[in-house]
Amino acid sequence: MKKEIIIALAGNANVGKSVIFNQLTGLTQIIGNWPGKTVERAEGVLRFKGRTIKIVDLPGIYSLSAYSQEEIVSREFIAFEKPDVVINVVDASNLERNLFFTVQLLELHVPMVMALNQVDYAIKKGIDIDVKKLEELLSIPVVETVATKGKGLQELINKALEVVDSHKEVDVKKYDIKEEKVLKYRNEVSEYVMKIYNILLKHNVDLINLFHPLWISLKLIEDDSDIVEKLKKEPNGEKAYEEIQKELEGLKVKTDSPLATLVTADRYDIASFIASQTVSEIHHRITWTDLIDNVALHKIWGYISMFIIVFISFYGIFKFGEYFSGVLEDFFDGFKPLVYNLNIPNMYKDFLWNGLAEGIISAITIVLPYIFPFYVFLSILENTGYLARIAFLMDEVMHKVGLHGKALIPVLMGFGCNVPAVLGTKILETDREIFIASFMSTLVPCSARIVIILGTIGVFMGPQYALAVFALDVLVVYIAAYFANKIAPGKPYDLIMELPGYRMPDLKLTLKQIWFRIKDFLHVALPIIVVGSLILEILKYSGIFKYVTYVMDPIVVKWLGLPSIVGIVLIFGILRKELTLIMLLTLSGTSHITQILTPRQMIVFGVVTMLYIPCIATIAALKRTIGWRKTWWVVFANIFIAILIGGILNRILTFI
Amino acid sequence: MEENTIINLIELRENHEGEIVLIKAGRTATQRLNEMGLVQGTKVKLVRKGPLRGPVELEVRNSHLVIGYGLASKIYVKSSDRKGDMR
Repeated sequence: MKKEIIIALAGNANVGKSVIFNQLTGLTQIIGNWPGKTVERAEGVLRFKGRTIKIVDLPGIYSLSAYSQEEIVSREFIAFEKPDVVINVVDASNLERNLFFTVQLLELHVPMVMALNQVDYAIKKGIDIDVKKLEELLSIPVVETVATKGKGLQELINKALEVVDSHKEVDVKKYDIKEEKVLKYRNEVSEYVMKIYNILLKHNVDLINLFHPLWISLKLIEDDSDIVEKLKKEPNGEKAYEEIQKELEGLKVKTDSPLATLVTADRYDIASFIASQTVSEIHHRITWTDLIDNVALHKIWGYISMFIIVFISFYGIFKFGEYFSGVLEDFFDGFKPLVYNLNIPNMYKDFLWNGLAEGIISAITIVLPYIFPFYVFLSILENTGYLARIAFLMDEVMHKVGLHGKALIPVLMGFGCNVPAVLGTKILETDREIFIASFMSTLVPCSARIVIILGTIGVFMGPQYALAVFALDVLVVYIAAYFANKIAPGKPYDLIMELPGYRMPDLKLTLKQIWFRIKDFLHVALPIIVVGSLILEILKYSGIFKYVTYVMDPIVVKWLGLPSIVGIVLIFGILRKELTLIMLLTLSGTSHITQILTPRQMIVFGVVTMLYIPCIATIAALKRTIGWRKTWWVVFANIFIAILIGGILNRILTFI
Repeated sequence: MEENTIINLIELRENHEGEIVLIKAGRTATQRLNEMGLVQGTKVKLVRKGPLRGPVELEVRNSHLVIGYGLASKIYVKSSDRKGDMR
């Protein structure tokens, strides 16, 4: 009996997979990324009947093709890390679509158990499922579960362990598609599966030991780019591939649609056959979802209700953030005298406070008060299903910059704090969208930058000028996103999304998920923030700033028309944006900004501060979300945009 | 009985049904639509359209899908609705 077991949770999005994962793993989770990918990997440990079970939550996907990183990650996990058993989580109220994915797992012939989840919801919808019949057809155990209430999970694990213990290796050299009980494809497809299988056998292709021959053969019929590449890398791979291609010509002439479509259609036929044998809709009820959507997706009321929901939520988040930020800041400032009363040289005091403490404090006092409520809001939006409605309503607007409607939410969050905004872009599907939305978010002025603009331009020149600066920023964000969309590799694609039914989110689970996400962020961000702050302190004491002004003066003084001192101030702003204004005042020995800057300079200063670089915590968030390479691109793009627009404004404003 | 005509999804009226006959999109997009359950012969009901060039919501295989305007206009269905019947 195996003591250490790996279980993979696999299934579509919105089926309650993460809920099952959370229920099973409790507080043992580790959330990180798949190696070399930006896809999130969550794993945890369950101790059960003296056995240690590692549970890996695979991304929510609809298929095992190679169109998204999530799909590749999932199938490679199954092939290379060989989980002892796969728990296929399916939504009982939406069985047919879910079975399409199940069919593909069956093709892989992995040891499997099905969790028929959300049965309570299915019953409410008037759907009855014959579980016995389902087990019989699929030849795997099926367990009814209501994950949110923990129902059926014990039995689920028991069944999974039974499958592990009774599992026998299949001989991949003796496969015959005729022995399949439920996987019945059209005759031509079955015939060609066997033809390809025999070619693979003939050439001793090793790939069939990683993935089951049936699945491999179907993938080769589909011309799956990733599998073709893997095949070609094998000793006889090129030859086998050529032979297969030649063979497939015979299939291509028999049909007018692409071969991939044939296979997909057959899989859906199998799925709908199984569903027709097991699902009976006793009575079709009008669901709450239908009723709510009549308003939530309405051409007029939909937008009004979205506006109200988003406005109130963000107002709450920003107020909460502002308040707690202040409370925490006061609290930590209380420790400052402790450090400065120490009997050590001033330089060390600065290192301790500015270099070490300040960075961590800024992460905690500025970022956390915003991250926390925003994550709560985001996960409520996501788990209730309302986020998908926003995607529907805003699709057209965001489409123009290569994004989907969902992207609106993280970008709006940018007005509070860029850090959660960037981290929140994870709700988007592709790396491309995540990149564009993160880039947009960094150009949106956060509360710190809003305060700077209001406190300088707003107070000394009038609110209408501050508003004009914000309007300019909106334009900049849109134009920048437009160019990012042009430059970013890959193509934007049209929205294809399942519209899930509304659900009540589980508060306990939501909070747990948020805690793990915040922990993960701090883990990545704190070292970056501390190292960044220390470097700045060292630079300060090495006296290098004298030379820095020489280098920066041509840009700061000549091009932007600002006092030389602003160059140094801007460097410290990388740590925290508020520091630009605070240090400008302290270094100039005055509390009146009008004594340092003319109105023209004030506007240029405000705009440059707003755009010039993401603060260090945001850089850390960018690193976590899009990786270092793209992060540097964003940083340099921001600097470039700030200098460009600041300089142009400086010239235009001299004429006015 | 009205005669069935071939129209694209955008031309289908709200709450009307059609049967998919052709998807005229690129290889990747077609494959993704297939995988979401839209293949030749699938029956779809158009639940609602977003304003202007907004996406469409479909009921298909007992669940709801949202498809962007551009893609939806490349999916052709057989329906009793006629071309130019748009509201």
